Amino acid sequence: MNASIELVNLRKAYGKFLAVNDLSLTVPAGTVFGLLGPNGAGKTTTIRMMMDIIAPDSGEVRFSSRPRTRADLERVGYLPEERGLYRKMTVFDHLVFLGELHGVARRASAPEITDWLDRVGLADAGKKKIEELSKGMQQKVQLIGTLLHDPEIVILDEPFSGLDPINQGLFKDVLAEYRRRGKTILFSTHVMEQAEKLCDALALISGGKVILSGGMQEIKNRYGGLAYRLVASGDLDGLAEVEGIESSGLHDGYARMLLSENTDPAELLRRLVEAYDVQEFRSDAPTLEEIFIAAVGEATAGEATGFQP
Amino acid sequence: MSELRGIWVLAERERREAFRNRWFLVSALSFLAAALGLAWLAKSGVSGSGFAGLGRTAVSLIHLVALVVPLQGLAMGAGAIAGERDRGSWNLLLAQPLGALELAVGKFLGLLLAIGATMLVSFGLAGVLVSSGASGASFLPYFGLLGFALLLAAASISVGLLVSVVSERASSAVGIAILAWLLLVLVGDLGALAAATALGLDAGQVLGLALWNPLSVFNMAAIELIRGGLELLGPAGLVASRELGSALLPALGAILIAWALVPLALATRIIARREEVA
Repeated sequence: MNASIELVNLRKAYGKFLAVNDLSLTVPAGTVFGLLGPNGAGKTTTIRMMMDIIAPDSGEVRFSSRPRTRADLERVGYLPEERGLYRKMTVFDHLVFLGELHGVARRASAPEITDWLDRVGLADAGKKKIEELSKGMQQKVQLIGTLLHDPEIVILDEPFSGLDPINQGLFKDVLAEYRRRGKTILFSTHVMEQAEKLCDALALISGGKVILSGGMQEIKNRYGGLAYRLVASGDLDGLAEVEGIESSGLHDGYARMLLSENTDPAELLRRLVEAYDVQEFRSDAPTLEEIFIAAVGEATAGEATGFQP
Repeated sequence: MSELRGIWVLAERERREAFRNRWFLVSALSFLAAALGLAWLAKSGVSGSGFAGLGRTAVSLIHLVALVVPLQGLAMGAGAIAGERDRGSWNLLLAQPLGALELAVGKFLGLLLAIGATMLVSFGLAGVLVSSGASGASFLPYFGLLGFALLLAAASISVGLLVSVVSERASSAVGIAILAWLLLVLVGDLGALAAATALGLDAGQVLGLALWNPLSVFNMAAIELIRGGLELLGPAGLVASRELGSALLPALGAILIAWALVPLALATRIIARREEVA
């Protein structure tokens, strides 16, 4: 898959504080890519360097396998973390202005704006000043401004923060639509559950460094995505000898198994049912949050501990 | 998007924002009211002589322009970028496909259009009022004065933008701008006079010192336009007239243009560095 965005050895320091430390990552074209990490990890600084809001001390930002130019930003839609809106402008004028900055003339953007406002439930808000809108409504206006010029690449910095569940759903629907249309979407979040549900690929950042990156399933497999939990009566000590089980460990009332790479869980269950009185058999893959904690631990220890059944 | 289009889109938004700014509207309306008041006084004092009426109005407008225009330009320029930082919209602008030159020139041009429009209306209405029913009025010096007032506005906006681009908050930027205005308006001439006395400077050196102050440059140009000579300014004025002769007005204009271009170029350079202001 072609790279849509590549960050090569980016570094940014503020005085003695190293916000981004030799960070490299690749965002494949046409994927939903999550930039994950706790607050202060360096996500926003990384995105700002990506968008040429701040210059890196060293390193390079590449779009479509060549150094980024200002013209590349014409095909990017960016939603900043701090919501930059012109509060005294009307919603309509604000959106027209953002469209014009991307070369979309008023007469072309006007029907688009009307459609978008209707879609996000702000059909009557076009003539209102932005300062008259609630915070959630302002975020919807900001999302429209991000997508109005139909960008090929959408970059969203903490898009869900401050949104109620209904509006989060709306944002997710819009992202899903853009994903179906083959657009590249990168968003940052510190909420792992959101990333787990939305992302095809991700990079985990901690202390300004990428500590883990890759496809979602690949990462899950790497960190025990092939783990299953078995509750059954009988002697479970010999589980590891069952075909298709790589290793197993006994816990309080259940056994945790790591399946071999090509094992079909349904086939394994059939074999287990023949050997044991199976009461429960389910995936016990770690959550992204658990993976993150493990990855931070590994990065700190400087070695890969891998999955421990 | 072409650079010119980007500049125009930004300039248009900046101009509209300026007319939404209450402080700017109050200052612009006060300028208009004062200009009309001065024109009415000049007209009522000189019956039937359009030239004298226009001349008196122009002389009065010099003081008004020297007081109001630098304040408007410096304050609006200072708030233009630091204000966007306060609102969080500056980062959004930086993320658009706009280069540093487009950002700086777009802001500059928008503010110049706003201030220029209010001056055009004020000068225009004052001129119409004072010259109505009169004959023999020469508008050339009057238009010249308007031109130099626009150059002063451009220089002030440019300095204001430079202050804005290095300021984290609008309040501190506007504070610095007002301090700069006080220095120009109050300390400028007096400072030059004090320096001349204390250091025993000759007329040429006093003139050199005055040329560093855009407000003094505007005053010299305005007096030259209205009076046709700088003898009012004493020995320094005489030196200026003698040394520069007919090149005096173009030279003064060039100095004001430099005052507009150099800070704007510096502001552009600082924006291009894409560094966060601490």
